[in-house]
Amino acid sequence: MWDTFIINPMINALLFLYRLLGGNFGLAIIVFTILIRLITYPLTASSTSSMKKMQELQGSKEWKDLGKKYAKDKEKMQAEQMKLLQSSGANPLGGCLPMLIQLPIMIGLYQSILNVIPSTPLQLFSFSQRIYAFFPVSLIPLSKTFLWMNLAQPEHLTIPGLPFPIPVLTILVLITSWVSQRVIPIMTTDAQSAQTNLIMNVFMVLLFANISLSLASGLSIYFVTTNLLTIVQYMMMGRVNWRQVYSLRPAPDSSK
Amino acid sequence: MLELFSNKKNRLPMNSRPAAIAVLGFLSVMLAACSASASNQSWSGLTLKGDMGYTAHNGFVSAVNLATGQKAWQYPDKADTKVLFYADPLVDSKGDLVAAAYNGSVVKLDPASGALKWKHDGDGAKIIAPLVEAPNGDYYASSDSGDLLIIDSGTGALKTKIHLGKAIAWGAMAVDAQRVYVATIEHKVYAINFQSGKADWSLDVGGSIAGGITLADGKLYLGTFTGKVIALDAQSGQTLWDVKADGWVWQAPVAAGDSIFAADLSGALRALSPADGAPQWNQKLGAPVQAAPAVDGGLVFIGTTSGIVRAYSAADGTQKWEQTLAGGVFGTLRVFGGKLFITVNGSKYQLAALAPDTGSITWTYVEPA
Repeated sequence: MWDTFIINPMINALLFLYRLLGGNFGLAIIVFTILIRLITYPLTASSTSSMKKMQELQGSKEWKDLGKKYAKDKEKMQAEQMKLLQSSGANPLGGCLPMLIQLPIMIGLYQSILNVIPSTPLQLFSFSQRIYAFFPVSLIPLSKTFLWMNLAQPEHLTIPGLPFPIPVLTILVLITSWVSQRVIPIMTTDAQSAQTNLIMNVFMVLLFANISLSLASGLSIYFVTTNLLTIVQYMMMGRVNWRQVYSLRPAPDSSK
Repeated sequence: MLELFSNKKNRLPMNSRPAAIAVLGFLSVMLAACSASASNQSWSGLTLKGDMGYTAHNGFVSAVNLATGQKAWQYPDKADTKVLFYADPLVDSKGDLVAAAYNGSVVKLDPASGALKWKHDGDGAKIIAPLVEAPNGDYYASSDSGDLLIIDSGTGALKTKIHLGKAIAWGAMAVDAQRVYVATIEHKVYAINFQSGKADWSLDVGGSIAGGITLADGKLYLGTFTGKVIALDAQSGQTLWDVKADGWVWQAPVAAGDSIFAADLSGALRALSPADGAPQWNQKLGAPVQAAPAVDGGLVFIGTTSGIVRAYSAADGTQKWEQTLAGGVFGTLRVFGGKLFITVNGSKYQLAALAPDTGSITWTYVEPA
C-alpha cells in the first residue's frame, strides 16, 4: 500500500520530470522537491498558523500566571493549561498534525530518490517493477550526472592542488540544515527547553550531514533544496530570527 | 521538515526531556530504516567447480561442499562493511578463485582454503559484473568509472585500462581467442581486441543490457530492457536477427542444442531458433522471470522472482515439474554434478540444490552473515 500509493507515484513523477527536463536528474529532484512543497503548502500554512496561535497563547499573561501559580504542582498546572487551551480554541496538535502528515511524504520522497538511482542489480530490479507503462524504457539508465556529481554516490569535489577532496554538498547540507532550523522563531519559557532545543538542533544537523556524507548525493540535493525552501518560506512570512543562526546559545525568549 | 522537531513552543505542556528522547529515538529508527533501504543488497554470485561451489554474498566469499551443502570456508573471517561481493567468482585456468567487490577491490583466493593470495584495492569505482580471464591469463573487469580494467593475474596489479566512456557491464562478459565482448547497461556492446586494446566494433542496441552476453558458435546473444532478444555476429557485430519479447529481458539468453532460451520480466520463457530467431515454443510462468534458465538432459529449468521453479521439456515446452522456494529466484540457474543449483533472494536461505528430475530440494545453504 505504501509502495502503491506513495513510492511508485513519486518515482514516476520523478521520471516524468526527468524526461521533461531533458534527462537531468539533479534538476528533476530540485523541481520535484519544490512541487511537493507547493502541494503540501496548505498543510504547512495551517501548521504555522496553529503554531502562531499557540505561541501567542503561551506568551500570554494568563499562561505565565498559571506557571507561577502551580509551579510546585506540575499535574495541576498541565490540567489548567489544557483548560486554557480548550477555552481559547487553540489546538495543541494543530501544529503537529499537519507536519506529521507531511512526514510520510518526505520519507516517500527520500525512498523514491533512492529507488530511481539504483546502484545494485537487485535495486534495479525493484525499480523495474515500479515504472508505469508510459515511461520509455529506452531512457534507462537514467543519467546520474549533475554538475560535477554522480547522484548515485556520495559527493566529493577534487580540486587540483588540494591533497584531499572536498565534500561540498555535505557542507551545504550542514549550513542549510543549521540555518533552516535556527531561523525559525522560537519562544522558550524555560532554560531547560531552550537547552534541549539547541541539543536537538545540533543533533539534527550532524545527523543530516552524516547521511549526506555516506549516501547518494541525490539525497543531499533534496536536503539542500528543502532546507532552502524552509528558509525562504519563513523569510516570506517575515518571521525569521537571524540572530539565532549565529548563536550557539540556547534561544532567548523572544516574546519578552 | 526540521521545523517539526525544532519548535518547542508547539508541544504539549509536559517535561521536555522525555519528548526530546522520544523524537531522537524516532529519528534514529527512521535513519536506520532509510539506511537499510539504501544499502547494497543482491542475490549471491555463484561459480561451480569440482566438488565445490563458490558463492559471493554481502561481505563474504564462501566455499560450499556440493555434496552436503556444508560450508568449507569463508573469506574474510570478519566482513568489512565497505566490501560487498555479489558477482559470480571466477575460477581461472590455473584453478585459482578471483572475486570482485562493489567497492572496486578484487581478491585472489586459494580455492582449497580461502587463503588470500593478493588483493587489488581498486579506485573505489564499483565492479558489478564477474571478471573474465583473457587467453594470456590477465583478468578483465568492467568498472563503474567506465573503464575496462586489465589486472595482472600474478600480482593483482593494474596493467592498464581501456576507457569505454560511461559504459559499464552489469552482467557477464564473454571471451574468445581474439576479443572480450562487453554488453553494457548503457545500451552498447563492445568487442575489445586483446592485441590492440581497442574496439574492433561497437553497437548501440537501443536498450540497457543488464544480464551480460552469451557467446555460442560465433554468435552473440543478448536481451535488452526494451524487450528484445538479439543475435549478433561476433566477428563483425552485425545484427543477425532480433525478436520482440513481452517484457524486459534481463538475463542473456542461453544457447543449448538447437535452441536459444530467453525469459523476460512479463514471466514468459521462449525457445527460439538460433538461425533466425523463429519461435519454437513459449510458456508463461505467471510472475517476472529475472533469472537465466539452465538446460540439461533435455530439460529447461527456470524460476520466477516469486520463488516458483519449473522444468520444461527443451524440445516442446511441456511442463515436467514445479517446486516452490522460500525466496525469489535470481541470477543464473545451473546444473552441475547431477544437481540443479539456484541462487535465492530470501531470508531463509540463499542457495538451494534440487534434484533435476523431480525438483525435490536436496539441501539449502545459508550465507554467512
